[in-house]
Amino acid sequence: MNKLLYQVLDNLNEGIVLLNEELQIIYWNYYMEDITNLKRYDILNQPIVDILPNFSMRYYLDAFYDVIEQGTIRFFSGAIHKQMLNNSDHFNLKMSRIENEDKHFIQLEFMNVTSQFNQIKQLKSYVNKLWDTNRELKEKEKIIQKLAYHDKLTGAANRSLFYEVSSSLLLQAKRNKTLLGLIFCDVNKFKSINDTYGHEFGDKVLIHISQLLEKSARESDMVCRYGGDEFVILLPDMKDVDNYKVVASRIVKLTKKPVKIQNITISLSISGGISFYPIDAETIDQLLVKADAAMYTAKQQKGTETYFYRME
Amino acid sequence: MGNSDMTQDILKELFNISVGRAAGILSDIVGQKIHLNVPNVKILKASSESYAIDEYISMKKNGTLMVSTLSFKENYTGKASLIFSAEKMKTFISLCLQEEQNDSDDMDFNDVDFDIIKEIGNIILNCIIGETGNLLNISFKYTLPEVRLFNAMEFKYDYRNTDNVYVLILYITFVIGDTEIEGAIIVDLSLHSINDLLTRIHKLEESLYE
Repeated sequence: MNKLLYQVLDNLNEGIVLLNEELQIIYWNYYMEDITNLKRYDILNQPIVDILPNFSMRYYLDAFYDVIEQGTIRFFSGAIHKQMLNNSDHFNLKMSRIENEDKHFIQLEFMNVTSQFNQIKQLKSYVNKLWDTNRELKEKEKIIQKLAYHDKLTGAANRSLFYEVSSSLLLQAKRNKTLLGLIFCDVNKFKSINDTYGHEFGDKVLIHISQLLEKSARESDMVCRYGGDEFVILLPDMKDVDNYKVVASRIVKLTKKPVKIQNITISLSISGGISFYPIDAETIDQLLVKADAAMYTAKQQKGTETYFYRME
Repeated sequence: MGNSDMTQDILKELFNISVGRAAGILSDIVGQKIHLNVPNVKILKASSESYAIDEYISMKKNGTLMVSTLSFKENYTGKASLIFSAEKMKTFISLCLQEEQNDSDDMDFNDVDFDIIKEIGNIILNCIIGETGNLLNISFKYTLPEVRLFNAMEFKYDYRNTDNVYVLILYITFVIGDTEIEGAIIVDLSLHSINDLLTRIHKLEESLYE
């Protein structure tokens, strides 16, 4: 019978070790031989702590004591207890007491969970890759959105964003019975600047003007590159027609001094026209037409200095 | 039943000794200082005081509970469950393994996580049930804990349907590093078992006055 039981234990696909009360090894199955490269006849009757030195740690010794004395069952997980039997595999360990002829024994069952660890590691790596890809896609989505609504050269809002925002600001102005101001402006003599210094220089001028307009506008205003050297500034929630002059005077001030671009010092000026909903027009297109016409007048009146005009 | 101040104080004292030992073992294993404390103990009748039990498991608002349950065998029937909020246990697992919790980590638990909780549940419940048994001279036989996830509603349903009438509830706090985790232990004993336990506690109580 004993022989049959030993054959069964040797046939198990998990490590089985039996210890006596002195913690000496009295049984070591074939699986244990395979996994540790230690043959049972070399280690029988030797203390487990001499054969597997990890088990001399205090918590294992305390566990052996509890199992023998109190008959408790103890469980050790492979995640916390690494390198329990060798350096390459992970094992869960169950310790329990066996009683026979008034003697107590400790049964150790080592269950190999290495494949679980590998699968989880692989899954985690997939999840992390997916996570990274997802983050990259979200970042790209943001860039695409920015490209769709912002001018590539200056970073200012483009015409698409202008039409989207302006129609909602117009609705807001109608609802709140406030003024919506629109400044249409361009750079004086821009064609001549381009012809004299080249397109690259002209681009730098546009970037400078865009930044200058952003600096001059209020936080709630929107600066948009409408096309070429033309910019539009939307001024929502205006309480009074004259209030646009605060923004205009900042632009005048910032264009007073010549600027240095690509080692060339140049004087830049802007002509602008302004129109207001609901005083000058009812729709955004009408506001644009009115402001454009006012800008034309401003340019005719003072074509070489920064000047803003509103048609009465 | 059995909720006199003295009975509760004795139970609290016993369980604090037990969890103190569990904390020592856990600290040794994970190589970090872990504190465990039982600030409160109650014995409640499941059928008439279920509202108080629900109130006691205040973590239920967190949705998912992680429950490690061992079953008594032979002379004592019933089971003991260690209950923590699943979300907090995820943090605890990372702290145990000294791994950083990734943004990509969601609330899914894998087999390895369950094994870690099984080991922790085994240590805490062993100490509580084992040492209480020792002090009261009772020999409990029980299984390894099974770890399961419940939503609070399922868990409530599960234990109310047991035949056992009385439950012993321990409120437990777990401190590892800067993280504090609150949980509960429910020891679900039959009337006969709980009577036995209380008789032994009363004997201890009487011996204090002798």
